[in-house]
Order: sequence, then C-alpha cells, then structure tokens
Amino acid sequence: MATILTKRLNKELREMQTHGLPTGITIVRADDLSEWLLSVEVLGNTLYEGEKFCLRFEFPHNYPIDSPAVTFVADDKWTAPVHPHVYSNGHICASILGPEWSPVLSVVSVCLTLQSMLASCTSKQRPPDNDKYVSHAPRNPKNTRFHYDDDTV
Amino acid sequence: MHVEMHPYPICSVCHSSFVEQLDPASHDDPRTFVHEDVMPDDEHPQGMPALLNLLFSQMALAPQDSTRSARSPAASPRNTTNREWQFSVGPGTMRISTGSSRLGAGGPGDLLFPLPPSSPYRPRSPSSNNPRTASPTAISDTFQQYILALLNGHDSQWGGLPGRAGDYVFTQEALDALMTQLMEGSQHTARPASQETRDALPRHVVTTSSDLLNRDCAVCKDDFEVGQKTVALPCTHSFHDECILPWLELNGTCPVCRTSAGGDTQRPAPPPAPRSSATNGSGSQSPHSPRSPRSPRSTRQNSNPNVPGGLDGHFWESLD
Repeated sequence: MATILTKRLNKELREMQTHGLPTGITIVRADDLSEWLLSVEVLGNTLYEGEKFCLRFEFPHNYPIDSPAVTFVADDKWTAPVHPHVYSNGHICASILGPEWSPVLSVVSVCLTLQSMLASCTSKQRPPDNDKYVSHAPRNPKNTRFHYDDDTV
Repeated sequence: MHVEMHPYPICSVCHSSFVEQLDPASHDDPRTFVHEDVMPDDEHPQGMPALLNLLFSQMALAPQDSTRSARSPAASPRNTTNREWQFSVGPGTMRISTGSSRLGAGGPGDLLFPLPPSSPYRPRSPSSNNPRTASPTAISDTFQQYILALLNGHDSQWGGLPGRAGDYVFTQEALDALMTQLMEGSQHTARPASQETRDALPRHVVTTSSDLLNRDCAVCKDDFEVGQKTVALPCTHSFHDECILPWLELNGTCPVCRTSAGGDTQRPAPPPAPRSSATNGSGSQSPHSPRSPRSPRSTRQNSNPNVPGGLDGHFWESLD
C-alpha cells in the first residue's frame, strides 16, 4: 500500500513540476507525502476575481485507493471561499471527495474540479447550515456524511 | 420514534431537524445539561419524587389499566397503550413517550432527550390513542432503569455510561432500527466486489506484443511494463493487479468508467470481455469518461441518511 502511495504521489509531483500546473493553480508546499498545499485562483470574470485560496490535501496511507481529505485552508493567512458548498471552516461538500472518489482522480484533477466549482458560482454565500455545521464539524471532513443534492453548481 | 443525536437530533421519520429556538443567554440549552452535575449528593431535585411516582405508577398499571387512576393527581390515563410526558424546559418543551412508536420507526420507550435534572417537570396527560403492540413490561423496565440510572449516576453523566444520550439505544427495537439504518445507509456508499468476483477476473501478463505497453495504469499512473501482472475488468479497462485489487475490495466498479466489475454489485454488468488469450483483453478500450467535475451530486438511493459516518459517530444532515 505504502508503495503505491509513494509511487503515485512522487509521480504526480514530478508531473506537476515537469509539465506545469493548470492556470491559476500553484504548489504552496509539497515537501512530504502526507500533506500538500496548493493555491487556487479563479481567473476570468467570476465572483472570485482577485481572490486566492489554499487547498490542503491530506493523504491516507492507501491513497489513491482512498480519497485524500481536501479542505480549504482557513487560518490567519487564508480564508475559505464564500460558496454554497464550502463551509467557513474550509470543509467542502463535493461528491468526488466522498462516494464518487476514484483512484483515477488526482491532486490536479481535484484542484481543477474545485476551481471550476468556484468559477461557475452565481451567488456568493455560505451553505445555509454553515454555523450549525461548523460548530460541530469533525476535524476530518471525511467523517462527515454530506448530502449531494445540488447538481447545478 | 427514534432520534439520532449527533450532532443535532434528527427525526428518523421525516429526516429533518427539530426546530427549537434556544436563547443562548438563558443557560438552559438542553445540550449542556448532561455536562453539568447540578444535583447535590443524596438529594433529588425538587419535583423529582413526584415525577417518579407518576411515571412508575402509570407503568405499573399497564396494560390492564383502564379503571384505576394513577396515584399522581396529574394524570388519569384511560388508554395506556401510548404514554407521553411533556416537560417544559425553559422556552422549549420535551417529550418522553412510551408505547409503540406511531410510525413504527423506532422502539418503544425511546427517550427523545435527556432529562435535565433541574428543570421544572410538568407531567401531561397521555394523549395518544393508538393501539399498542409492544410489551408494556419491557418498556417499564427499560424506562425505569433509565430514570434510575440518571438519578444514581451522580458521578457520571449516564449512570456509569460515558458519552452522550445519542450514543445509546435502550431497547431491542431501537437497536434494530439503528441496524436497519446502517444497513440501508451502506447502499449509498460503495459496494465491494466479492472475493469470487475478484478471483474470476481475467489475469494477464504484459508481453512484448501487448496493447498495454504504451498505456499506463490509471490507478498508479505508471506505464505497463513487460512481465507485469494485470487484471482486466469486464469493461476491458486493465490495471496492475496490485493496483486494482485493493480498490475492488472497497468498490466493485471500474475506476475509469464505473462499470461494475461484475458479480454482486448492483449495476448492470456489461457483456463479458472477449476471451482472448493472446492479447491482454484491451484491444478496444472504450473512451475514458472520468467523472464529471460537477459537484455536489444528488444521491438518489440515499433514502435513509441519518447514519453516523466515521468512527466518532459524526454525520451531517445537509439542510439545503
């Protein structure tokens, strides 16, 4: 297991470094194989113009069989985007991070997915249950059973 | 009726939260009651003996009671099949009911909420007239035990049991309901491929003439190399055996196209892969269709969402 994790992440990192990253996505930190930080900007004429966010990837020991825990960093330096599927603690309600995960997906593809989720946003607001969720949320969003009930964003 | 408590009570029948306005300044948020030991030793809170008298006497009368009135002056039930007590707790109310649940979702005797030791108890006349199906004796025992545990458990919150009220069920029926919930909930998550299904998948070894040589394994992203063992799924997508087998133990679908790996998974299986011995079974790979990046996605089959997720029992009912 561990060998797949190491092989896969090294490969992904090498790809990013040699082939470059998609526009708007940069590596903030990827110096070990347990946690990576990548920044995401939504370019073009979107509600998030001029904003920059940071995604934290935490890899389980059996990545990519198991999905990474992906959250927007919310600390003194970074804030989570205001979006109907992003809680203010950075937790993201996105099916590909939960039951729709597949080992075919990668760090870059998750970044692209979330970038496009932000880009297509039409109304900047928190999830309606944000306060309630954040006050009781588990640290790891993978312990949350989200409902994926919005096909439009 | 069965109620899940993490992190907020959710009704298992209608799957919605209980609506209760709590005034943060009033210090009577029910969730804090279990964390405070407001009961002095050897002393029950005011009104507690009367409450117990009422509860136990009513239970003792079941099921034959229809003529005797309870010793308590507050209630004289004509129908003992369902009992319900309502307590006022600050601005809100809570109810304890015994008897068969109205919609059959939970067991009898479920406590809807822990009793705050210091709240003013206000018994209410039984209001229901539904037919009873469960054993009253079992209910009484369970209920009595629960109340006694509450009263005796001064040094711990739940009569010696650590944790919160929602961590426990108190009847076999409630346990069954919880197990059913868990079983149904698992349909929503991935279904693994059985050992038989995995064993039955065609194995190959990459040869110098293999079509796979200029492809990579979608799981590890490494190229296939001569001599490596591969497994072909019914959709003809091939992977290293060491890459695909751990995945199939969790999820019996193709990582690339999500077609069932066959056997026991629910999705309709495509026609079996051609049994070609010379090639590695992937001469005509179907076009890749990775999951679209849209998110979130609806989950049609998730009929019973109140299932704790993760070891620490957290789950979340999204309200949007």
